[in-house]
Amino acid sequence: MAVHEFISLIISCLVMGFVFLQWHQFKRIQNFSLLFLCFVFVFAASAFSVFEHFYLYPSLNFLQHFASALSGILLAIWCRLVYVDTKKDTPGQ
Amino acid sequence: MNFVTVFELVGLAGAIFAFGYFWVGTRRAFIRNIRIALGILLAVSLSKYLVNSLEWSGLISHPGLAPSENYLDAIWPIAWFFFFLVFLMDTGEQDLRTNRERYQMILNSSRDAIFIMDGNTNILDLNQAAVSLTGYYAQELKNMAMTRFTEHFDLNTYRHYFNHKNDGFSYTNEIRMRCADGKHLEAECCNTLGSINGRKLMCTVARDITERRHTENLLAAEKERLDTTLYSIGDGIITTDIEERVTLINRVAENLTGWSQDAARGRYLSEVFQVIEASSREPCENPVAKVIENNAITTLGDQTVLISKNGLEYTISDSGAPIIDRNGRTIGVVLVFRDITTSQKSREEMLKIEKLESLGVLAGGIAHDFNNLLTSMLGNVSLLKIETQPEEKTHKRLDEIEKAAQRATDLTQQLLTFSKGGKPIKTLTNLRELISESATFSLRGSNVKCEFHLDPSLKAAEVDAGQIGQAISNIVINADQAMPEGGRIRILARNIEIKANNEMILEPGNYIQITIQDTGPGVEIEKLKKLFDPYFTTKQKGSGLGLSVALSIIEKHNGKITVDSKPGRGTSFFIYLPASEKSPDKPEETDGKIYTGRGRILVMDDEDFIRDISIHMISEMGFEVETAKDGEEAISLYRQAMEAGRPFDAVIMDLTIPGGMGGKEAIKELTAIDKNVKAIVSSGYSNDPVMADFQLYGFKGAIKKPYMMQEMSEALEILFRKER
Repeated sequence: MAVHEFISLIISCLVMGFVFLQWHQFKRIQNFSLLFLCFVFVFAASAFSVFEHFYLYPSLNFLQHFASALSGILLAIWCRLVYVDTKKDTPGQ
Repeated sequence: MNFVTVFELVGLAGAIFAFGYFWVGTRRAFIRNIRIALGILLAVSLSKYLVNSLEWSGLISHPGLAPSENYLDAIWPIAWFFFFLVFLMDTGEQDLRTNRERYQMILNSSRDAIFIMDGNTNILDLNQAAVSLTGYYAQELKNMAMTRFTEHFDLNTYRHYFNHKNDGFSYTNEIRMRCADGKHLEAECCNTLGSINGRKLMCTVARDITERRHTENLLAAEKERLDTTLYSIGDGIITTDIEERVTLINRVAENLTGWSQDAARGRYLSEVFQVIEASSREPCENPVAKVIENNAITTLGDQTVLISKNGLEYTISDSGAPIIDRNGRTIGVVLVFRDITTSQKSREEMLKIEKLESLGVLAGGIAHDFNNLLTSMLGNVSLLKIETQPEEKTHKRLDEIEKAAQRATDLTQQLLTFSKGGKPIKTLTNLRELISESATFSLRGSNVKCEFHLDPSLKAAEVDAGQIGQAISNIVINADQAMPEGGRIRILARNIEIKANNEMILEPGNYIQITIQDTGPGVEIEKLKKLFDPYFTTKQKGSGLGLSVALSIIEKHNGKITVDSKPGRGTSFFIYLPASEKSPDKPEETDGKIYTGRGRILVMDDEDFIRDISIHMISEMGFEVETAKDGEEAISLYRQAMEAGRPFDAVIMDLTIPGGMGGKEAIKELTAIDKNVKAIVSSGYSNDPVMADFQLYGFKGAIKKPYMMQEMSEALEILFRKER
């Protein structure tokens, strides 16, 4: 197991906790559920990258990269929704 | 190519698209700091996918490290964290800024001045309206205590509330502000206690009420003026709403209705303003309904009686008018009414007096004409008596006729007395005779016995015998009527001396007290006070005028009349008349025989039969008689006689000639012709001033009609004897 994978998981966990703690503030971000889902896949990829070293390596490795790929796609979708599809101003502007 | 490379390439594609959208997008989605953080996140994501794709595809490699061992995987969640953190920080700051702007907007949007103050009234914050209101700059006001630009600020109350009350507590007060330009203004303040960051503060919202207070003062003054006017008006005023409930009642209306303003307000008009028709005593038509129906000023009735709360009745004249608001709607009714009870009574009394005056004129005229007729009758009787012997039957019959005519003369004298009014014509009179004659005459035919106790040394008085006789007569008649079953009247007369400061408020001096006592039922003390009031009577038979006329007559003679009575013990009237120290002139004595003489006498009278009887009577005395029917003819004859050298020795002239010159005017002409003219005035109006003071008018004697042979003889004898 690489150290950076473990560090990545810990940071992802902290970010996840931070998001949950300030959930009501982050809900002001437009299409936050989609962005959050995107981060969930980031978190999942980090988790799978750590756990693949202990059991079910092939499957978890597959899932790690799959989650990573999905997060990239979701990020693209979210950016499109925020910057292209909607002309609405988001809170905080 | 393994699946890892594929997935990384897919992720790379996603990251490229995401970055592309971010780059070419509006860039307006977030504020600058967040956009930077998002850009970093996207850049890290792009780098991570790119590096991973290249490594897993074998295009690049790091010596000694597996493809999964690059640290970009660890940086990726850090980038996410950074994005979230920046977002959170920037939105918090933005919120704070938004809230502050919102606060300022709210503060400045108020048209009332807002001051945020501490416990010492130091101003910590304020709005634009506060600046406008006070005229100070905002910076000047900040940290200035409100007490510095206000007068009589109640700091103790402020501090009491500030220190002892909780957040949200609110109270209002009024302050007087001194503006920067020296002007003063009144402000109404709503003070609300609150706290910011745990610091207690007072938020004062001040509104300029100077104009409003001025208007209120003007309105109050106007209302007070109107109220005072309404209350001072001499007529009763009641206003109601359209539901007939009383809204206002002025002082006169309070007195007339017996309802006070407070008690009457809100009650139905019918309860407060009870009016009935005077004749039928039926309730009047509802005045409010009548006014609203007519929608104009309406007179409610001529003969309306208002019954007050305590049962008193007032005759009123009233009118009502609708109260119309600015929109033309009738919102109530105003009733104006006036107590006309007294004026009504006065009017009725005036009518009665006018009737009595007319009756008096009629009575006077009748008496005059009667006297003329009686003159003829008595004159002829006296002539016939001369022609007959006393023992003859005819002579006796003539005596009877003469007596009857004398009684008729007395009656005409009464008529003349009744007809008389105004100022008394005073002559020195022996009251003993007057009292006894008047009383006796008044009780003729009555079942009441009269006793006289008249002081033989009773002084004479300067009185109008006719009027005093009438006064005594009225009191005696009053006593007589009070005793229909019969009784006794005692009349006493004596001389008394009245001292100064007497109860009767009479001038000190010598008086004659005449007391008339009856044995009638007496009068209660309440009625005693009204006994001399016109038309007040306790008897069905009386008119209520007798005693008031008696009072009037006595007062005209500077005297006094009082009354004392107790129920069941009779009534006593006391008359006080100023006594005279003079004795009445004794009438010149004659020997009782018919006077005879020689000479020419001119008789002037409008009545043929008077002239005729005068010719006979005077001729019988030996005189030559000529007659004239009025003053002009008499003057003409007198002048002709003088010019012919055959002047008249005496002239007897009637006082009044209807439509012609009477004796009063003729004597002036005759005196001008002959200053030694000997004239006797003759009249049926024995109460005429000329008859009382004939000398003042140029006459040498007076003879009252009706006169007989004897009276004519006496008059001529006195006239000619004086000349000798």
